[in-house]
Amino acid sequence: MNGPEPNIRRILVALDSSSTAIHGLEAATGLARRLRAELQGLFVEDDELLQVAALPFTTQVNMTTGGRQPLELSELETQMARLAEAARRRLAAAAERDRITWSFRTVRGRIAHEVASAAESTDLVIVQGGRQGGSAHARLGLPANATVNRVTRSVLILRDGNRVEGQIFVVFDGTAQSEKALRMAVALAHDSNVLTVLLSENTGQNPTELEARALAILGETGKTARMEHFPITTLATLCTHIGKQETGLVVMNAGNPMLSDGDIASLLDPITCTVLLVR
Amino acid sequence: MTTVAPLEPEKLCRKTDPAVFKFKTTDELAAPDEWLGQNRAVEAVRFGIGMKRAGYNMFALGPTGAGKHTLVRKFIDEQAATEVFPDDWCYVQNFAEPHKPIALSLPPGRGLIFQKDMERLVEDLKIAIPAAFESDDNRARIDAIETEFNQRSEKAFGDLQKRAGEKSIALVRTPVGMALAPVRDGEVLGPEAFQKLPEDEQKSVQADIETLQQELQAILRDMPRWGKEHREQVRDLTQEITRFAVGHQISEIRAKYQDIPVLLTHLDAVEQDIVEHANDFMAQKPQQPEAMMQQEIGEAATLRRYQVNLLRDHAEPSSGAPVIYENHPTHGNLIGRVEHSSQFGALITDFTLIKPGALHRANGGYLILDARKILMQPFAWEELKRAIKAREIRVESIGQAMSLISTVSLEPTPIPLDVKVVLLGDRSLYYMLSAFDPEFQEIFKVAVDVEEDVERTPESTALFAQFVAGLAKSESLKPLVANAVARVVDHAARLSGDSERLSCHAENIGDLLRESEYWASEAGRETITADDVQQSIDAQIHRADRVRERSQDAIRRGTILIDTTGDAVGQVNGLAVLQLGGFAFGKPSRITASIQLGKGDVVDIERQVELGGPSHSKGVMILAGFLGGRYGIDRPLALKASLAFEQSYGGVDGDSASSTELYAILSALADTPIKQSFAVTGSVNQRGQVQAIGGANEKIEGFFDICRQSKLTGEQGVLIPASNVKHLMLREDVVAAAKAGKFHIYPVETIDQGIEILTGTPAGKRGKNGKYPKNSINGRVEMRLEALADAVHRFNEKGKSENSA
Repeated sequence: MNGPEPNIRRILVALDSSSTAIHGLEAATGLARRLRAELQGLFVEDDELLQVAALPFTTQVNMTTGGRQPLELSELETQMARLAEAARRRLAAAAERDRITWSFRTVRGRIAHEVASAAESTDLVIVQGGRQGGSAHARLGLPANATVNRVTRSVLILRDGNRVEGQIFVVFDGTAQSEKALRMAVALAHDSNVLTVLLSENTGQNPTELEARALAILGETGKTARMEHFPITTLATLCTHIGKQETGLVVMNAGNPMLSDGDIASLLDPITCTVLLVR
Repeated sequence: MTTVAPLEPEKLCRKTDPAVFKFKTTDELAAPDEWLGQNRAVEAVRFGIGMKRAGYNMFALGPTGAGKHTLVRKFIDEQAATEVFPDDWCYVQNFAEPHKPIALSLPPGRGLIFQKDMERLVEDLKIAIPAAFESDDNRARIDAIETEFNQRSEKAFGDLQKRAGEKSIALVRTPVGMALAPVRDGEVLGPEAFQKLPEDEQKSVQADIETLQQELQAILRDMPRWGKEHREQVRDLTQEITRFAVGHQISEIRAKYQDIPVLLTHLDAVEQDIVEHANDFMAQKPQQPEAMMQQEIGEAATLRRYQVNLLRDHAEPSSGAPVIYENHPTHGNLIGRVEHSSQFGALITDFTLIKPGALHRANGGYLILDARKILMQPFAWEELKRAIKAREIRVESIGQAMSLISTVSLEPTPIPLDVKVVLLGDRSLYYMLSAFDPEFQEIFKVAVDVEEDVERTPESTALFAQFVAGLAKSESLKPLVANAVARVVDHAARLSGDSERLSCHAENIGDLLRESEYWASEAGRETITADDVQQSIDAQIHRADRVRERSQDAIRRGTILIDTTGDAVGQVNGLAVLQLGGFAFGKPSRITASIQLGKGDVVDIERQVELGGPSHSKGVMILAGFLGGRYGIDRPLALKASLAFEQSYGGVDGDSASSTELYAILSALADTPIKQSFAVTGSVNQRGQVQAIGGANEKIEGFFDICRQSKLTGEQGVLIPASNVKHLMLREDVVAAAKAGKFHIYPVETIDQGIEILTGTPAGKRGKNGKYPKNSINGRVEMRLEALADAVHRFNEKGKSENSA
């Protein structure tokens, strides 16, 4: 997409049975209102988790109390249904408040597969990324590398209280995908956000030309941004750089060479802010 | 028959000769350097001010407008100017017990400086503390702690996940926690697949899961401890950074107040509190307006605890001790109050909402209060006494003091009280408090008795002229010429109701001067003349005499029956005084007496119908004593005399009509008519002596006006007690009528003198035979009483014979 406005008409917000997933709904409806997009809620009853519960010896450890308790299949199904209903109500209330078109459905299956399938008919997928810590190491649930990697659309991974405050960093390397990332960043930026374009020279482009191209895109959108030449070569360097500042959102092209092998965890683990991977 | 001559016109009004004044206008006079007639009061004020012992507070007593406030204030102001301004007092936060704010005293003038120092400290720290935390070094140290904590849990979970992975087991997130599940080829094993595993492998998997779950639980058990250690590390570092940021700022303030140890203690507490609450200085701004408002209010409330609530400051300590007059002495205005502010429906308070009262402002100086006002305010009087006796100001609401409310409020530390209180009030109030409040005399030991009049002598008249000049100058009035001052002096005598005294009622004299100036201005004069003063007096009367006019009109039209000519038996014109607002006037009343057979009673009809007061009843009972003493020595009085104020519907009191009533009885007994051209006033005792009464001037003028309405015949006049002659300050027209022989004032000493004037018949004296002359009034009375006694005797004898038959 090379036009001045990113064409996002449908947004998929993916939810699962993790207790934190539901908290991203408010941010999702806010985003849908700003982009004038339709919001589709998708609650996935994780098939794998149901299989685990069906094992005769499975117990679970409560994260709050540290106590052990049975993981009953029937109880799990009830909990999932309850969470789905709560998510639907919350989405309905938020959508009504923001006056956006919305829909909601519940499916059962593998999360990555179901989300990827549903994402095909949308332009942007929103998932709850959680914070750093133990939950990030859980094999199942969102976001898992598998889920993010399987989706062929742009993915917004909400984190750190689901807020987008402070600076928005967008990695710009002159590729068409990074141009799209820049346009997406501009679309998401509030007036209170400071937009910083990190001019990545990994593609070997002339720094002056790179900056000129970025300014030209910004000129089309009528936005201003801070330009920063930075010799970013690895994800670690990028994370260290943005981790030192009040960062609200990092926007980058999902095909950026730094994300080799789709190693999303290497990007998410060192930082706490929301991440938008543009495809 | 003794002859009492009417008074000479000169006796009716003692005029001041303007020639006694050696000035043309009051501009030539200086204000008096002494208080007119107030020697006793001045001495008392000086004593009260100088006496520094407990309980020597003052009560200035005297009529309203007599100048109590002015007098007391002048001497107190003079004294206060020579005294040192007392310490400043302020309330600050008690960090150990926030509901008990601490009172601090500072040398005069330094309270305001301290208050500003603390305000500046907070403003500086709002910048300095966030800046300290944003410095690269400190951010790195905080990040290091955060990273260490995160890595600790990361590592624990990572290690667990790694060990699980080595055993083909995965961590699985559930709605409430985590579970462990066997994995083969990247897929979780379902129940069927698991059942297909060899039994040993199944057991091994279950054992591994059990072990890993225990490890997971151990990690979760450790996490609160890590969190606690992490928070302690962050807190210690935060305090270290804050202490460094605060330290030098607060040291500067400490250096300024080295001489006030109690302040240094407070500053230590402030520093410690700031160190423990550094986050209060680093609040993030929320984006939602409501949240922003809430946060701003909350931020202001938290940082308020470092403020200084200065109860009284004084920028110029050299101006002397405070002198406070509290015009509205409510409980709260007197001792201060704790106010509350409403925030989102809840009432909250803190030490900054303690509002000082008059006692705070006057502490170390003088407090002047109106006694009546403070007594009318609920609990104010009791609280004032309590504060004076306890010598401390304890700020508490009425609800707290009465234990009526139990909500959490403040209990500010009491402030030591050192104040001289002066109450201003009527004499009746002073005597009432003395009689009924046992603490009153203990607390207000000094009575400042302010005179309302002064003896009229050449010296006091001259001083009065200075007093008038002083009043005129203080209010920038036009000067008074000598004859105007003379007229004011005469009016002052009239106001005092005594030709030998002068009223020094500042308010009344002041009113007269102000209004005289008005009339002088209306007439286009640059000075106030006697005519202006007279016009002012006439206008004052005219504004107030609507009721008098109506009353006189009712008599003129015959609605109220008063005869001013002719004669009648058992009927006399009495005189009453009506006081309406500030205006008094005399009103004639017809008094009648009727005689019947009886047992020596004099019946007061007014009393029977509860229209007569106790003094009036006493006067009537004295009449019975007189009759008994004079005529009933050798026989019982067999009469019943009824007395009535005709057409009186509003009640009467006082004994000034008792002589009048006696004349009516004597006339009725003697069957001798009384001349209705006379009116009478005066009380009488059991010996027949006529005694002084009040309002002689108004009474005479009241009857004069009635007589003049019809026509002055030359026969008309008023009988007054001889002892009232000195009180006469009659109107010019009355004096003129007396000069012309058209109206007469008779000074009477005894009933016999009076009855002779009223009837033209000798009263008579007992002869050697013990009898009064037959044609005298007394002789006729005696004969009538004998006849009544005989009639009663016959009646009794007849009754006895009828009973025995």
